[in-house]
Amino acid sequence: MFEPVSRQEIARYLGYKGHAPDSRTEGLMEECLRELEAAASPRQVSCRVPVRLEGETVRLGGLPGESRSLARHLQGCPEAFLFAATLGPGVAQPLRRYGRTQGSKAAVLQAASAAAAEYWCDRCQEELAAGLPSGFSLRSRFSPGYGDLPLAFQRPLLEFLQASRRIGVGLTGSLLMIPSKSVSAIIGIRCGEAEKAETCAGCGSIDCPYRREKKEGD
Amino acid sequence: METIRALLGSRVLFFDGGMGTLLQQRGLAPGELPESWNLTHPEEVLAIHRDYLAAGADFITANTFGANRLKLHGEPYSVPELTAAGVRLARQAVELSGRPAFVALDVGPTGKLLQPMGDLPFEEAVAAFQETVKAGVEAGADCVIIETMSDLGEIKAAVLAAKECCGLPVFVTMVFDERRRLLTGADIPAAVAMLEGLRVDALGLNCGFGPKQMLPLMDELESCCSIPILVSPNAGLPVVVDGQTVYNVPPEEFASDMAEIVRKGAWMVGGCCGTTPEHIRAEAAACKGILPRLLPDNRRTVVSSGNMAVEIGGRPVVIGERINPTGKKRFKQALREGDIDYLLNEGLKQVDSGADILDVNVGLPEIDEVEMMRRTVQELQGVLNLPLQIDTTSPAAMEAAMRAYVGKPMVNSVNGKEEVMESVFPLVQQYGGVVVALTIDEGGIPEDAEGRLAIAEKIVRRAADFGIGREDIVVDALTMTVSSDQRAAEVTLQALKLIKERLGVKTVLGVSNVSFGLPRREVINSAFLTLALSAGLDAAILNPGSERMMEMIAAYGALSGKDAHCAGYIARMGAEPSPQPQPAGQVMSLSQAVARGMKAEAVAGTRQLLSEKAPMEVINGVLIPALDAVGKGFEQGTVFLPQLLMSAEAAGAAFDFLKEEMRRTGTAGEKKGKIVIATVKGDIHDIGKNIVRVLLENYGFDVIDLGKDVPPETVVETVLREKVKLVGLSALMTTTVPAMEETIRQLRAADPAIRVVVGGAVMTREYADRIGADCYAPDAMATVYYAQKCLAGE
Repeated sequence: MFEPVSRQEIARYLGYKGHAPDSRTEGLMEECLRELEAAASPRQVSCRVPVRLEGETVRLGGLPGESRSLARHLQGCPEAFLFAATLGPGVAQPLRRYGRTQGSKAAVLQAASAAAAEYWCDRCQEELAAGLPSGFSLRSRFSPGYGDLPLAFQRPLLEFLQASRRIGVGLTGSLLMIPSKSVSAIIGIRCGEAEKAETCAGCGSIDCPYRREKKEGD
Repeated sequence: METIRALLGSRVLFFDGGMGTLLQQRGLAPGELPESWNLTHPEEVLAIHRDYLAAGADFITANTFGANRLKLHGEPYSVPELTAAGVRLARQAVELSGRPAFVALDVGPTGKLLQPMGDLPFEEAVAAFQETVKAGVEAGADCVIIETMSDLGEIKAAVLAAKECCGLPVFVTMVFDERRRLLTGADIPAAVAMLEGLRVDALGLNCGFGPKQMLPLMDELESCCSIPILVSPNAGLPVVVDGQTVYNVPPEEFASDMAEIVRKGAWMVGGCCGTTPEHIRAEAAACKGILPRLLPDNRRTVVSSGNMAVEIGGRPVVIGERINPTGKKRFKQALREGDIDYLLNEGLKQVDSGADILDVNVGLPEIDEVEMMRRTVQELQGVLNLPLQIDTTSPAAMEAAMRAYVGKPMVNSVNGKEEVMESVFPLVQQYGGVVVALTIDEGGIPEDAEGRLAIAEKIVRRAADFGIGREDIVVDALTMTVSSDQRAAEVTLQALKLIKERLGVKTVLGVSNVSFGLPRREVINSAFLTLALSAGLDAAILNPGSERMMEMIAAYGALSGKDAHCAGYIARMGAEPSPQPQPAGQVMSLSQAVARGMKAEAVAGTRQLLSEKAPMEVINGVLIPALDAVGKGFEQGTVFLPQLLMSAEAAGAAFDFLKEEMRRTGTAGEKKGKIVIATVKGDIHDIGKNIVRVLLENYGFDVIDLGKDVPPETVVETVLREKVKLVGLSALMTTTVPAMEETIRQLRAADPAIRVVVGGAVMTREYADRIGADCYAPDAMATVYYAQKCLAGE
């Protein structure tokens, strides 16, 4: 299922900044995607909830959150999906193995699995969008840790979704998601047709090393 | 509670169905802890239990699924409170019903992943489960059901906790997916092997699927399981209606599918998500008249890992012997230095060579074998899937390893000495395992086959006293050296045949001892192996790196018909030999090889250079400058991370070759100084730190890698013990930067002269300054440069 994962994305995670990878790295990417195919067991869980905005407080169904950025993100969204997805715990083993034996492949596998996780989330989101009544569309994923929405919001979000029971996604004491290739997010459902894909341009972290280079002059 | 055990199999028994959805219908808010209702709305919980009893349930599952200290965050209730209240409500419902029903303490997963995949230490999981089990038993539970589990390691922790707290029956049900695997990868035979080894009373399936999807899983269970089976499916697959997940298979359809599951062999059935008292009523009506099927006798000799099972008794099984310090200088050095990576590589090489099981022996007088064994087993299981054979004469090391092991291990070994049997058999009884039995006892090794048979018989008999069946014993009739006694091989083979025939047990031999003292030992070894295989040998302990031995095994499988369709033989021998890209007569220079990241070529180039230069000249004059050039390119943005690492790996291969050369010729190597690196406490992602390690090592630094999630105290202690002057710390998350700050604070307090370099995804120069680091490394090369600057002239 990962055949269509963008090689450019993998290269971006590896820090290529728009340069083309050499042929051996390209070969490693293909190897890694094949191994990911065998190691991954992608899962997802979502729940549609009504959105209420009261100043900076956002109520997602019964779930309250304090965040100006999230409130802004959910402007014009009567509802939202709470969402979590993962590539599953099987990806950890090859990452550990190559981390011990072949650092170059570990680095490429790390990047490939990050790209694959995004790809999986995109597929899930397409499916959610396809199930919407006409006249509604989805905004981009907004994850805890974006803007002023604290990372700690992952905990109530995952608990609300019963993510541990349903897809095996939990949190460590320091708020890392396990398995590592997992995503949790809030996806606004807005009235109106889909916007143009929102990418890095909408994000405030302008010095992020992974930011897609689409600014003027670049 | 003997009545439950006696009742099993006499008729079909019924568990209750879902609890969560019913509580929600009665007003439980989303996100609210269902178990809190045991205290806040006891009448609602009681009413649901009573509905299930009225529907015909024999077992009432207490509302304690999430009552686990690792799951409760900021709840005003304690685990014992919630658990005891839950069990008492179920108890009360049973009493009010006047029916002879049982109360099952419900134990669900912790919601955390165990190490090494996650951050939860095994014993912490055991302790958390124990707290729940103790409270449940005290409140009057009749049995324990561990359910909705998806990780074999966590299941083992829960089962041990239950068994160590009480003698109640323990049932385990698991969630398999469409690949017929648990979330963490185990297939059905692997899970069954471990749970039978742990001696649970019943095992089976729940959640995940509806009954229809569980039918094929039932077939697989029936083909490998010899204990009672319990199945509690959801009311079908989840369907999303209006954004909410629902399960909508109606009671009648559910019930008729459940009858099919009972006909396939389940002794106990219930329901999970979306099932209601109506489902259980229909299920009981549909299944009541069916007589439970006799338990199939699937008692085979099986070991397993957290992923897969290996049967001994089909095609010959290869047990790799290389993780063992005996006679290996380099291996001993690795053990003394705690160099786990070396051991892991030895293991991975054997996986690639085609081993089925890996023997693990880390016994060395001057190290802490108990801790080393435990750690090695855990680390090996983190990187490879084969079952392991725990090989030690220390009962403490054996227990530590068997406890930490995920799956059903092979255990090497027991023998006919009473004292040894008394220390090993209780461990096999408690943790499960297949044990290698050596035919030696207080009287030594008998010189004839009958004598060895007599010892094997004694071992099998004594094992039965501990509830260990002969399927869990593999006898080693002992290979003796033929150069000192020419009858030796013949006696071993005779004994092997006799023991198999008379006792019906499987057999194993370490092969290579036979040729001791003779030239070209492989010739003798492989011939002996052939003879042993045709005498009925089931498993051989050997070096899987030996082509000749592995070819022999493959050929025997094909000739004996044990390798169906010769598939294994063809897979091994039919593969194209890998092409050698090296054009004849042309050797790439070492600098070119490093620049392009070609390992084999780097070694060839080094070999060529050594004809004209001394090893140290090669290192300082060619290798380091070549690496530097790549590092420059990385800095300037013309070389990227994978290439940088490939170059470092090629340089590493050249280094290893040079080090070997210097060892051979007795030239002293030159280390550029020691560095301790670690990912800080709370942080479990270590790829960045590993990249830094690869580079540092290949620049000639002596790197002590403390791994991930490292407490500040460990860093300080290591730095002081090893007299290290430079420490590299990595943190991935803003939430773990405080742990980095604390580590730096403790380092400063211990020795103000220590330099600290920090890096990681969230690190910035400002952050680094604020927490008192000496250097901020934005990328891996920066750490190398800083190390060169700091440790120059040491």
